[in-house]
Amino acid sequence: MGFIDNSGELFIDAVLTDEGRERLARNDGSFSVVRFRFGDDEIDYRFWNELTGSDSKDRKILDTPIYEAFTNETVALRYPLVTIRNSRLQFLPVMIAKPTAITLKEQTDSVGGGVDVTVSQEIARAQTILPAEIIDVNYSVEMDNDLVFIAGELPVSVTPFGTGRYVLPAAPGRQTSAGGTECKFSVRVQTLTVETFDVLVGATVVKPRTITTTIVVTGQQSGMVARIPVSIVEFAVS
Amino acid sequence: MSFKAFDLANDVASLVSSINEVVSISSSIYSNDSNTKFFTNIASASAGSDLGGYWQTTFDASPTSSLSTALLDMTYGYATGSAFNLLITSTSSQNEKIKIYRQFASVLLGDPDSTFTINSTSQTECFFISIKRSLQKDEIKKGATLLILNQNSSQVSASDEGASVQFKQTVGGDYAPLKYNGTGSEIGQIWYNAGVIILSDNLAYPASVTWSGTKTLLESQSSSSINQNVDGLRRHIEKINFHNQTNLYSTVFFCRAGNSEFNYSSNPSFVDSNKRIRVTSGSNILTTRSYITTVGLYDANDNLLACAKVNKPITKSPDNEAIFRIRLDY
Repeated sequence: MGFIDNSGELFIDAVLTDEGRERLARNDGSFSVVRFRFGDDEIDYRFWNELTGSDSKDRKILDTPIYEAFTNETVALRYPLVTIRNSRLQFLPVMIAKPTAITLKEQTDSVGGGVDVTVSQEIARAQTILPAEIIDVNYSVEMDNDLVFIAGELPVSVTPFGTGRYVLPAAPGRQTSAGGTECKFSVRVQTLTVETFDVLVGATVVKPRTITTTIVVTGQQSGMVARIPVSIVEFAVS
Repeated sequence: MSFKAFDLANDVASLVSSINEVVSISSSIYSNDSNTKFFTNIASASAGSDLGGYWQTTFDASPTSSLSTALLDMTYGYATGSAFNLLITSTSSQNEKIKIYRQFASVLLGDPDSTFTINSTSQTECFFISIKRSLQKDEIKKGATLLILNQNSSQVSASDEGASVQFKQTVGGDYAPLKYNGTGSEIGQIWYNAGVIILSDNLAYPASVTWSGTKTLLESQSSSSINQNVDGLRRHIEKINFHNQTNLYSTVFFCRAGNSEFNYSSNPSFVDSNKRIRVTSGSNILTTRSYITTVGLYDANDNLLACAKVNKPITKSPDNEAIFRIRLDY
């Protein structure tokens, strides 16, 4: 008689994130864990070795050292695992951002102006449609709230480190060729000061200076992520 | 989808556990004055600091060092009905001793007019050793306290042996008697929740024992300040051993990954430049798989409230399931 394999059950200590501590400190009932997800941030799937035996294809992946838990919620779990019932997909849906990068001007893209962004769910293989369970209904958009914001929207939360998070519904009536949804929003620049550029770029750098940041768009159902680099160009009077 | 909701009735559990540390404080730490902080009697300070304070605090190094930690507060008091409650000298801290006794009686017995009963006798004079919260943690573990007391030319031990099942519950928390060699007559009490050790002066020490300086204990009680009484106490305790206890209140979240769940990843390296899934494309392994390293706990608005990591990547594929028990301590 053999032993029952118990390797599938683990006991792990969790740490509160900054957001979790803040909500606990509020004492207003806003600390309530109701769902979970898994991540694989440390894993580099390029180490999957197709040229070895079946038992050792993932040996290098399984050797990956794991970081201790981060308490900053913006980096603690970046790449969630995704549930798709069909286990034999060969292509994975992707988030396509248009434009792929944004340049904002401090002077003209703050109060008015701005850049319209569309993030859509696509799939790389033509004539293939998305599995229904990962068609996104809502999108989470994260950005540096001290630098940029979404026109006409309010962030649902701003972390102590200044990351603003918006939750936007999929654009109604829009469907991509893969059967997915789209998310549309307009990005503008916050009111910045010379000191902001001095700190983030350098006081001695030739003007106009440019601040770079990133907007992260995550499909709440699919967990798929699009990262949009943002450049903010200083308004400099010569 | 990337989130999975907890079934709060079956996936979330509360548990209480405790952690104990062994603490052993020897007389070399507190028997001399260098690690002791003396307090001036606030009410009588103008009359002279030699009146002494209400208590002394023992540190593990000089109290003036930023690296030192306070360990114990020691004091002495007697009840209003004590035979020593007589103003014998101007330096006998009479009022302070009564205040101390009544304060401990109020907190531990629920009535400042009560007296501590040790060895079936009302003890109107007692020494009180209060263990600092940083050392005591949440409480003292029952059945693990041992004191070695120096009498004239011999040593005796006092312990709460068997207290883990024989302790008493009162308004002041749980307590048990300290007995000679664990099973003899009672000479004191240990109050576990309050972190207080009470020693009866006439039961723990013979009245004729040399106390502080050339005085006997009896003489010291009659005419000495609290400081002088405690000076003697510090020199007549060889060792204080106990186990502290930290009570952990935890919530355990059972994060269950079914066979068909979480087998794909949003990790950019999961697919190649053509968006083909690396682990299935061109492989004789036709089904997907992923590797779990992180578990995130979220609220209803998808705010990440807590995060846990495994110690090695856990393979997740359609031919296996996994349960992660995530413990959040408070």
